[in-house]
Amino acid sequence: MKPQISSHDFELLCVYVDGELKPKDSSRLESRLKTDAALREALRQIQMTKSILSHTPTMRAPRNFTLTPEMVGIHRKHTSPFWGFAFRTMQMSAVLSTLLLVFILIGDFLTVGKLGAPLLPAAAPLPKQEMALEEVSSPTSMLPATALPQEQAKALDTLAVATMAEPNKPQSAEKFVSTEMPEVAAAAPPSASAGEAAPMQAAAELEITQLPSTEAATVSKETAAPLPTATLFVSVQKKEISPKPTIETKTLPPVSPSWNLWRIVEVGLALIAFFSVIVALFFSTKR
Amino acid sequence: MDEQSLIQDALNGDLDAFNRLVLSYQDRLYHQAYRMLGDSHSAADATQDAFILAFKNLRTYHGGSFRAWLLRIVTNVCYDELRRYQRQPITSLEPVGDDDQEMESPHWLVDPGETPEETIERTELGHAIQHCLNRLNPEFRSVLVLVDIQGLDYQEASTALSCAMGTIKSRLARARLSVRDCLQAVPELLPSIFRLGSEGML
Repeated sequence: MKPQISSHDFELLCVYVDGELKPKDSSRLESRLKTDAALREALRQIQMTKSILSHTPTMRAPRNFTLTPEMVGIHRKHTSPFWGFAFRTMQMSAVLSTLLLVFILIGDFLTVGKLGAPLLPAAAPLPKQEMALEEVSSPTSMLPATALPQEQAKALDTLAVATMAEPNKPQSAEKFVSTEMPEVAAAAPPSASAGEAAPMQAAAELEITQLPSTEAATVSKETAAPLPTATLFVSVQKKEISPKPTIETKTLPPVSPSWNLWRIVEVGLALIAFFSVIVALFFSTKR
Repeated sequence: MDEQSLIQDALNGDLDAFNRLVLSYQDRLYHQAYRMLGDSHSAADATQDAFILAFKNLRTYHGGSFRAWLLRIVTNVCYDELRRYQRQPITSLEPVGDDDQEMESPHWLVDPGETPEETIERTELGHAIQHCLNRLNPEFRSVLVLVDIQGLDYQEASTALSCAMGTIKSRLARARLSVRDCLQAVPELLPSIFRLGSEGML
């Protein structure tokens, strides 16, 4: 049987059952309960419902819910202080060496133009020093067997014979040489006799410039205009002409010591950074 | 060591101190979660999540009833879980009875302290109450479980649910009214002591 009471009265009865009603309201409700049977029935049902609910079987936890450090993101450290110190040291080493390397690389890039300037003058005197040929006795004797093919050798012989036969026209091969390497002619000593040295010069220069074929010599010979012999001189010394032949060898361009030092420092720093990271990773697994 | 000292140690990062609090409250929180969710596995997950959240948010506890604070957390976790149920209904792999209620697993029946009859009665009462609780709106269910099952007073329930006292009273009254009607509909599920007078009582 469901007693017909208002929801407000039902709420008052609930609060009354729980002992949360104010004393004044409580006494007023008790006086109503004495006269209202429906209210008493509702109160009894509420008390029974509360009693049933309070007898609800307690559910025990099926397992322990204690927390582990992993659950809450705590990583416990059980390592000795040494590994932590070693890790931090390697970490710092890697960072510092990387920073230094970066600074040096940046400085290297910024000063590359400035560093190149002093290097070029050092390479400037090359024509005189480098391009001088070893002493030669004949045009063909200086040609290496592997440097030129057979037909080129024949062409050189032909050219040499032609130039010897026409001493007044030695300009053909020299012209070719002078057009290929004008700086060589400019740097050559002006005291040499161009007329006598012309055949040798032609052959020698052909060797220097790696004249590819006979056509080049032929064309240059045919098209070359007479030029002043003084301007066509190259740095070829003939044994018979020069009593004091200068034997010069090819030398490497001068290398600035500071340039090498920076490269070594860069490579060293890169290696230090790399190995520091590797060692730091190893220590991180130990700590 | 008292509760406040353990809380203070836990605030300083002492997980062992917090775990002692966990052991003290795990049954109560699990019971709350079970009555809210009606499923043992979901209740266990909710309880574990609640303790994790409690440890991570321990600094938000500013005194008062620690039990109410913990129950508030587990109730909120249950709300989230119930909302997830509504979005993605879950079909249990556990066997269910005729009333679509999950049958108790055999390990719940193994209790040397009870006779088979007592165990059955207790199980039936639990079924009946859970059946009626499941029909309640989660907001009403939480109030009823906190006050009538967990034994919190109105102030603690208000703290646990972050509700005004008047809201607690009205929700509790409506929840009790609904449960009363539900229990009257299934008198056969009530234990004998309630069944005998059920016709006259309810």
